[in-house]
Amino acid sequence: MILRRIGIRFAVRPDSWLRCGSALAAIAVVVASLTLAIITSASAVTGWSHAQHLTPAPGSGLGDRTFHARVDSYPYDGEAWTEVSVTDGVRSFGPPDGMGYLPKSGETLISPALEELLRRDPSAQKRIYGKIVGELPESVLDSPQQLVAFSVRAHLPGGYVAHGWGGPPDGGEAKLPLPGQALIAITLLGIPCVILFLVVIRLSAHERGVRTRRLSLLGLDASAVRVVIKWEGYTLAAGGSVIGLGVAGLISATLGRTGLLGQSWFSGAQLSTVLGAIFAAVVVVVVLGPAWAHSANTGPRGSRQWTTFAACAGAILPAVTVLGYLAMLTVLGTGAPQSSVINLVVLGCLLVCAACTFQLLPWLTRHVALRFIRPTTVPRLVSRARFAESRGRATGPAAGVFVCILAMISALGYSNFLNYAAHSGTPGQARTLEVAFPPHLQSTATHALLSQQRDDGFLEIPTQYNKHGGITGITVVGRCRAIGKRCRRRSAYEARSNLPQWCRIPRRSSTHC
Amino acid sequence: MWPRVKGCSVHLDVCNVSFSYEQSEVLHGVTLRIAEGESCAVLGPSGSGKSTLLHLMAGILEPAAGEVRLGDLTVSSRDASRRAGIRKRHFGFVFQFGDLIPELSLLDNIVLPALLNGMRRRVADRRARELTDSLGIGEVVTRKPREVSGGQMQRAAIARSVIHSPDVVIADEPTGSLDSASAAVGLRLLLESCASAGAALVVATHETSVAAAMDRQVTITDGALVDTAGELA
Repeated sequence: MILRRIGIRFAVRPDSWLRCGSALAAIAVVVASLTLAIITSASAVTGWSHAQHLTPAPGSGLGDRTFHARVDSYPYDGEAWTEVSVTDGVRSFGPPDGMGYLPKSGETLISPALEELLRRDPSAQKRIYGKIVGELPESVLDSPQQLVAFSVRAHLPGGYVAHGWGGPPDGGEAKLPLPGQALIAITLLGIPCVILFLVVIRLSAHERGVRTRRLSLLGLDASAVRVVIKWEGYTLAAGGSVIGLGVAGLISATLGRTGLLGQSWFSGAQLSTVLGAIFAAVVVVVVLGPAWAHSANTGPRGSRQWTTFAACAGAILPAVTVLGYLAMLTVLGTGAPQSSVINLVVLGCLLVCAACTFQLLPWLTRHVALRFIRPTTVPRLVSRARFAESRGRATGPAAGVFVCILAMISALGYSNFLNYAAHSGTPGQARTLEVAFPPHLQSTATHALLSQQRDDGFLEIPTQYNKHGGITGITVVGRCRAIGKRCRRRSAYEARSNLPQWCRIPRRSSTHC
Repeated sequence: MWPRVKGCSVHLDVCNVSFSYEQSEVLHGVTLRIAEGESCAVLGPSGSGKSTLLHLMAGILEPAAGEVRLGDLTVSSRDASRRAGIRKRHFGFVFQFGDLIPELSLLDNIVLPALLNGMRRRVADRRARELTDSLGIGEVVTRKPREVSGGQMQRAAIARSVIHSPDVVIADEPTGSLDSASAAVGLRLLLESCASAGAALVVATHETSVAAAMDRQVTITDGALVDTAGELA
């Protein structure tokens, strides 16, 4: 009991140098929770994308009872504007649950919020297809504030073939493989956190050594000293976690409102952010406590060598980092040169940051401090001496900032990768829908056959339909040789020679890049 | 309060102890007996091995040869954990700069050895209040070490060293960081506290004035111990 109390008291640090440890622990939780939120959201995004790709083609039954749906979403005046368009073929299914009727072809139903917006801003009217004939009931909306337009059209370019409203998807969701997820978690979540912990531990190892030596002199054995230090670590991690949870939630909410490309799914990831933050907090508590105790000086004259641990970590961490990123690059970057480039850039940034943190920064900080801190007062003299005597002290706070930048680069790099995968339609990976929309329609879209991948890596997307919903034209999406530039071509020859038999090829075709 | 070490009247017995740091032998065949309630000064220049001898006595270091005994207990032959246990129960410490734990108040620092030995907090607090009142720091016990003077810190360290009624109090340069007036007061209080607690006192110092106040003086010269009783007087 007394040992626990001492440990908790140790966490209330009188030394500003040691307070940095608390701050860094909090930052570790922020980084951990954010990266975990990204990972959990990413899993959903990639899973959806894979599901669309893996949904089996309905084959010849397509023309019988199908319609075409398209969902577009974009930010408008700080809100997400969603347009749901379906073809006439939807009539054989009737309206979705909660909707009383289906508008006629060329007519549109809008949500109450959108109606209010159009009243305030008539210029937005031009974004609406056809004639507005009524309001969407709130029962089909996620929220009354949602801006949704639901229209029925005769022709729907770029639509997806659907065969009903609602219900679970036929093929089920294909999640990112578990080893892949684990790899991402280790690389993005684990490595920055471990580096942060090392910085924190390194920052205060000396000071804790002084305190534990005093406890040892009073007669505490090594295990008792470790109990004290563990509780200090637990308290520190728990305190940091509370701060980290708050900051992570704030950042997540802020990012969700920015409307930045690739960040929109943050808004739908609040729960996963909170869960991720709580999980990260537990991880921090569990990891930091023993790590703290391991680095403690448990003897009255120092029985444990911190330098041994630091040296091992210093050798292992860069190797693990490089291997982790290379493996992630291999798993995630297959078939997508752009994502490989992004990952390579991320890897480069990470290594540069690591080099700065552990090599350049201590040297630089020490020399700058010795050059510019003039020993004119006692505190300055002490501060200067501290910088001069300890490399770890010189590294401490600034290293924390660098590691955070590093972690953010990791997270944003991965976010960009997902954004690319989600929006650009890489070969071997279907386009995915951008944002959340009413559940009925979401499951319809999940049902939809989106594309067909050809043997040559090109992607075929139905783009023209007859009035019965049959496909009359197709767009072949491929890749030009220049990295990052996509090429769309409409080629009768390409299509005729490769398309499945159920597709009808338009007579007139063109090719453009 | 707690049973003292049973056995004989000689409490601390250092028998033919040797110790080396790396290749350098600091102590060679040192033998010293500290009787119950006796105060002893260990003199010698800096680097002569005074602190090392005190650390060997308290079981902080393990001798390369010889043994240290406290009554029936063989301090030197046990493992580190057991030595820590003996240190916790039977020894009190006073160091040059007090060596108080900065996160704890003076009162918490003082009661810490008592609590670690299983004393109830209420009893420990009462005992600490008695000690601090007698040492003249009763009004500042709730402050943190950095908020009091060096002399007050040293008095708190003295109180901490005797609160659990140890058999031996080890003091390493206890007045080294104090001015002469404070040093004299601190030394007097240390002697009185040890006497009232019935503890033997071993002081490492290079100040002859401090050594003169002790019952007995020994000097370390070239790694060996020379009894200098009477010479200082």
